[in-house]
Amino acid sequence: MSSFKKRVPSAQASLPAGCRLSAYNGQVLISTGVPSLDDILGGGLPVGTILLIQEDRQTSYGQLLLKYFLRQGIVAGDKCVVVSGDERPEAIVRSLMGIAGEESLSGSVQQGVDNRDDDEEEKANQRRNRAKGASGSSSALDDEDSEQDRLTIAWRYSGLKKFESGVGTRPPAISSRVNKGGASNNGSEPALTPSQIPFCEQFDLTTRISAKALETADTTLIDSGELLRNKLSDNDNTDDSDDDDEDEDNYTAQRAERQPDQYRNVLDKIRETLIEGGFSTTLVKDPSAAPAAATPGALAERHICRIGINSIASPSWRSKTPQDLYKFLHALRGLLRFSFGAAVITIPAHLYGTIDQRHATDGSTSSPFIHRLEQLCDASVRIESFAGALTNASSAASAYHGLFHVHKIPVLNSLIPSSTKLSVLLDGAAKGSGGASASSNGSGGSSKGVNNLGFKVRRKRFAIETFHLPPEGGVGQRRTSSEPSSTSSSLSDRKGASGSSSSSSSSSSSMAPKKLSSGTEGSGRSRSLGGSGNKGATGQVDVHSVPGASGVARKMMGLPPKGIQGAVASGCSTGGSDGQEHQHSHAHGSSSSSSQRPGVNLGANSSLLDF
Amino acid sequence: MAPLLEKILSAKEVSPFVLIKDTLEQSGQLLGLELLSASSPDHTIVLICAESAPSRILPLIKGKHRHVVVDCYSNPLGWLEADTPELKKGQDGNELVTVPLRSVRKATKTISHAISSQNSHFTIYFDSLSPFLAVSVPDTFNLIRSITGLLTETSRIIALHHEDVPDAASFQPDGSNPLATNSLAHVATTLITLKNSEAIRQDQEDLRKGVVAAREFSYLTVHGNAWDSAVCEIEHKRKSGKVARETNAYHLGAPTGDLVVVNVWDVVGDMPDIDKLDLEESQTADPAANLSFNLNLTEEQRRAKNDTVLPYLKTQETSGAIYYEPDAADDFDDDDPDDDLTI
Repeated sequence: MSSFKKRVPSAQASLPAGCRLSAYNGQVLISTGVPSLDDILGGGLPVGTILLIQEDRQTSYGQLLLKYFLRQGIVAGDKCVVVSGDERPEAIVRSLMGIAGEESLSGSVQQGVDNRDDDEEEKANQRRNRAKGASGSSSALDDEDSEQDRLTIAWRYSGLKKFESGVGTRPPAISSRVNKGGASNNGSEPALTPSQIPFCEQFDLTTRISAKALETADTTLIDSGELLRNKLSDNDNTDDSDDDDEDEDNYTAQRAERQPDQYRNVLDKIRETLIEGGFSTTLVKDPSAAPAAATPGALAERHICRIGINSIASPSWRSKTPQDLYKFLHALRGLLRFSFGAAVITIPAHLYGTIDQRHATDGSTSSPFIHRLEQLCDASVRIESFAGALTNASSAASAYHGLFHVHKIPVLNSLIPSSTKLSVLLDGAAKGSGGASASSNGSGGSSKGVNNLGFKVRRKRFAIETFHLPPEGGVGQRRTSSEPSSTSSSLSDRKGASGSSSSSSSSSSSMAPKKLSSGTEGSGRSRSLGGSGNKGATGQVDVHSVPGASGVARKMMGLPPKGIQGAVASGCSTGGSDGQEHQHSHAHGSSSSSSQRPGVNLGANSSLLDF
Repeated sequence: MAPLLEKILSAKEVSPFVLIKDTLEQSGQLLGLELLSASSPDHTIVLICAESAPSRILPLIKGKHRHVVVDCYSNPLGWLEADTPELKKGQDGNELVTVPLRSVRKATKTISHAISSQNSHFTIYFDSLSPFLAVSVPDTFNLIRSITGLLTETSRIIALHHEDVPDAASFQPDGSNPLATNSLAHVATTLITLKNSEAIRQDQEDLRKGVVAAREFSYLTVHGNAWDSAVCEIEHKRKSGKVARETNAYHLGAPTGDLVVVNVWDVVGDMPDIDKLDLEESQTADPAANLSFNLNLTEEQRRAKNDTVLPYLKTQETSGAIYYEPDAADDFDDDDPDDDLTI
């Protein structure tokens, strides 16, 4: 008898609800609730991993992502563990969004949501669908369209695919979703078979989660602040009784000793939940009981434990030793690796940093603490919203709500992260030659580079897209946009000279008139940098034009320009951090010229220095 | 449109936690007390004094509010005979409690007790958070957190924070603790950073002249800490999640001594408005405007130009092909490129 067996489809059916297999390495993935974030992570968040979201200073978009993650978990019937210190976890769960198309009890508008309907996008979708459907017969309408933007001179380009900056709302990969109507009518009914639960549901931010869904939701709430307070009050009670008379040194020493190990407590609770729910594969509740048989049926019954931690390490968390959070993350990661669980953690990273950076307003940090935390997580992203940013770059980029930086993507059981192959948003160039899934997405291969992602929040979706300026920007629009032009590389490739010249003029205009020549000199260098990057690039390198420009733009918006020295300093610092970020993101990349970039940056900055 | 500061003063903008960051160069006490006096008359003012004596601050508060004074100033280290931490009626109708600052946690208990015993709306005023932060940073945040939990809809916390005063954590910087300044800004709904208007004016002057005067060791200047005017950078987080950012200035009106909020340009002087400059430049950026020859096309000319059939247009109709006939001069490589492989 042969030992080879025919592959049967039952292996596919045995996945837990709301999961799918990675097309790259067969990892079990769950959705974050945001299709484009799934795409960045390589199809979804692999089970057993931790995603770290660095919040930005003013807004709560980080928490919004966390809510998407939890809400998707409720749709899939997963266990949701909500840990929060700042806000009560109940409040977070109650404020989750509703499913699009589902009746909601209250039409209360979620905060900070752009209520604009995405008309243009729907139109674009329609057109795309039409183009797909109407292959030959009803092409009259299409002709009308194409007649308008028929290219007379650069006509060879008209045959190319349209440039698309985002991913489709529905990821086209092997999703196990059924027809949408059925899913949304009784979306949160547990009666759905696992295969019917959508991998990624569409949510509506203007509605709240229905009471029924809340009832059926399997949640565990951990209020870390409450934990801390309980501990403290315990201590205080004992304090009152005995140590009022003690001298101060003794008191403080005792206090330090008695300070509760908050992270430890939270971790214990999470571990308890994982073991109680049977999510762990190594730790079982009752060691004497027979280990659960790993039959396919049992696996399909299985749920995932989603752990959402809101604003970890915010002021309301307290660590006993500096290593507490490292230990916590390390232990959590180890715990999750052998569990059916995944965690999304948001962190106000902007609170950390050295003294010199305490005024950094863009939410970036070079704190070694945060970098070490990133090392301890499997994936790390940072949100930088335009709300309240010092620049008014947002005027040109009003289509977006902010920038989305990807610092780390999960690498499990492989050397290369799966998203390099699978993601549309990351590294579109590799994708363009990547094969079938790329062409089915219909997206052009022009969105290369990692650091040029922006996000927009609409009623029905949180979309992360390749950041680009509106194509028909007037001169004025382009002028104020030195910030985005430094990040949108694909655009600067396309627009070439116009982009860099616009930012050069803005940088020179913000300086005193007599510094004009040096300003143009700096931009001239950056342009040549762009040129060489284009030539040498094999489609991998993203070119950030005008290193100093973002600093200058930031400066432009600050109230009183503090003089030229300030401008140079800020230009230098942003240039440096850009380079750092870039290296970070390309840690696994193969582009050789990325390592040259910081040096070139420095050169351009020094050209600003020697006026 | 009214300046943002005015809206916050008149409580038209809801802001439960107003944080005023000041430095030695510009004190924020005037603005803080002005904010406090502007709170509506039915509010009880909970005055938490840690930096100056209550008897000094109380006369500075305008309006006829009820006052509850938490005095952390008179007995900061608990050396004097400790009172019972309970509210007592003072001789002027104010309720007073004295709390030692030795342990912020114990102060927290007393303060939150003092607040929760009030049944009306209230405004809480910290004359400075810095003494609290100097004792313990995390405990101070615990204090703020527990007070925030007691806030009702219309209540407001107004707190001053001296940015340049080190806190307990800054003596042993430890990357794993959040910076107190950043954390306060994170918690606050309105952040007002005070700047000295004269210093900004001088900066402007320098900028216009194009020279930066070297000012070494002159952290404090003659014009520092002006009592009657300052520039405020305001960052206000609305409940909707929107963030408003504005720079206002205030000065005291001449006869009345009332606080007048004005646009920053009025105080600092004619500042080159960068946005405006930008706009102007972009509008005059048309390079074809002042030319001695004509680069523009009339409509007729344009049509004629578009109708011209150029060679490359023909290739659009047919599919392109490359015909290539080998030339005698072509240098073909006859070698087998794989001869080094033993195939």
